[in-house]
Amino acid sequence: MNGRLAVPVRDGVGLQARLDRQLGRAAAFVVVDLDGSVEPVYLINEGVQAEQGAGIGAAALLLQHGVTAVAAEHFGPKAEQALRAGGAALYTAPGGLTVAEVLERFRAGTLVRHELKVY
Amino acid sequence: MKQIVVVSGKGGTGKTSFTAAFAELAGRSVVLVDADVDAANLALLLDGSDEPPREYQAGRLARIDPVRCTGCGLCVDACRFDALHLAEPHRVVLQDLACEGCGVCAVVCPEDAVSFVPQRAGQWTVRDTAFGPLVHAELVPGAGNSGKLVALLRETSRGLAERLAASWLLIDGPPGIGCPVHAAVTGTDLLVAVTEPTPSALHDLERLLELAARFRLPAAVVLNKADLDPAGTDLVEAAVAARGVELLGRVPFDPEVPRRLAAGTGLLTVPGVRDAVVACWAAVARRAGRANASAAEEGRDAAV
Amino acid sequence: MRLVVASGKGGTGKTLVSTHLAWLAAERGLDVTYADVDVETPNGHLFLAPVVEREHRHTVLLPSLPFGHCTGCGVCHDFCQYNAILPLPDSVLIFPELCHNCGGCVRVCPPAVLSEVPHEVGTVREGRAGNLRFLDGRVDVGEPRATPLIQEVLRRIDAGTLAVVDAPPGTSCNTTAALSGADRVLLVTEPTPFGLHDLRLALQLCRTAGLPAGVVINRADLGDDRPLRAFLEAERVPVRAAWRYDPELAVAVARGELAGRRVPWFRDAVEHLLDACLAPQEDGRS
Repeated sequence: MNGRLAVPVRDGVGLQARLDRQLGRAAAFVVVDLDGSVEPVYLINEGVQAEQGAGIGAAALLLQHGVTAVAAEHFGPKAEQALRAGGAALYTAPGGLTVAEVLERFRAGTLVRHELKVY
Repeated sequence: MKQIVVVSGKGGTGKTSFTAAFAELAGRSVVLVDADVDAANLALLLDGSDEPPREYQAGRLARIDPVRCTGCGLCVDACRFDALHLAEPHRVVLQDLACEGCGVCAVVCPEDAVSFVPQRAGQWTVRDTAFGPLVHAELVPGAGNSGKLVALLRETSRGLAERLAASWLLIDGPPGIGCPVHAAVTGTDLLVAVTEPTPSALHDLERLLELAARFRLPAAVVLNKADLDPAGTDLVEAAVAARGVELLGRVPFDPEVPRRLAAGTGLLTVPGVRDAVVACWAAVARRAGRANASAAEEGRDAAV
Repeated sequence: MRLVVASGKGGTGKTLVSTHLAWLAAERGLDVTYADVDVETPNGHLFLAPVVEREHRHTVLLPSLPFGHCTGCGVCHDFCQYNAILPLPDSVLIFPELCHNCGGCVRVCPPAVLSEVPHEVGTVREGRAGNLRFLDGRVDVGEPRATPLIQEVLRRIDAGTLAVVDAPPGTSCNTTAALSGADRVLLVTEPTPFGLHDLRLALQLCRTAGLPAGVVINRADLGDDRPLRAFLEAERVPVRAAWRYDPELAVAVARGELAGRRVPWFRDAVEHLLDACLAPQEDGRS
């Protein structure tokens, strides 16, 4: 399996970190290399304090790190638009899961694809 | 949990006193937000103890190093916010109030004389009131960007409401129709516009309802001081009906209301007004219950 | 002289005061402009009923990438303080609603392929109401950038004339923009805890801006004006006028009339206020 999956997290730095509800205002992201060739990367979301457009800042950060898929509880419209423009696939994951659990569901194909909404 | 935002367009129509009254009627299953961070008044009506305040920072301000600055004026011409001016002798002065921290001055400065400092923009806290927690803030006058602070308060209150399994999240909105209002109404389940029978209030209500339509938010209207001018009341009712917006109730004018507000009590202590406000809240609750769920879903968090 | 009528709290009577000051100044034969910069909710026109002579659609410049030579370097994204630009491999995605039109991205773009295009934010109207010059701004519904429109209205005030500026409520960007270039500020308040709380903030803003302020107490008998007056005395802020609630005033406002035309005592009160505003200032710069 190729590509990189990113998950917004609020506490912890590794696979046991739990999902944060917000993408743009998440404390950090865990980025997992899907073919396992690179260790999971922990990215602090510097843009969490951004005056505005935190979702876009987060999307830019993830795209810079070669992310191809993002699983989150919730996508703001701007973050969604930005990630889609960058070619990332979006999935909705239920709140409270750990990164490991999200990854497991992703590999099993049971994560729900986040549908495109027209604003 | 239903999110109700109380707005008006024109200021002074009664947003805050209605929000406080609705909070009292919401059966102690409510979280409150004062989203009018320029002029936050809900806490004046709702006693309680505040948690220690938290600092809120937003953006940055430019600083010009007077030793390096040669007064060439390149930054003065480049600044789109009119924040920089040339002063004698050969010196650039910055007006903090106008600076938006964009950084253009630093790009054009040949002397590397520009640096940036974070801007302290205000503070916020949660108050424990008799009806439920109130998330409120105070912006430093002139600090600007209140939209982000409104978004922060709303995010905090949503978390609180979920944790407490509250039925209602009541938002006291800012006046106007601009960016703080956008941040306050985005993603709510029902926008309640408080208006009065005057041409000014009606004019501003029309602009507000246009905004609600654009954000695809379900909206309804409460007519305050309804008996002040029968002809004006007819005009408001006709305008609201023409837009297909529901009029949730009419509340009479009573000079006792400002006196009670001055004494720190609210609408519900004025007998003639009380019944009308109770009826309005019942209508709000009913209307929010059947608010167009898909419309609310689509508009949710459009400002993130 | 430019006099800005502001308030902090909304609905205290800014438009009532500013339209009357401008109208009565014009009646005295002064060359006066009324400028409504409450551009989200402008109401002065409802009372002054101006004949509009010119309308101008105001634009700001927003970045645009018209031709596809973007290298995706991301320098514009790194520069933008407002997260309005997302870099993609060979283009950028621009979020115009977040842009503050500072123009920086266009300056820093290394291949210079970003350019700026005009974006309409609202309408400025110029006209006359009797002897009065009328100006107002009206931001488009849904448009977040109100301050450039406020600046544009203010730019159209002729230097050397008397201008009465009707400001937006609050103490953030829009009000700050309205205060720019002011000589004096009149803060309209009401004797409620709300009015006092917001007046404090408005006064703080005036002081930050280095502007002398006086106060008008509207509906002085509705509520309790003692805390308000004690505060003003302690802060040495002059009360320029105070008047009681009169249902006749409310009726005039409800009919969109200039209340001073039908309520003689109110006309007199504003005449005195105008005298006070035009008199050489002895205090206020506390």
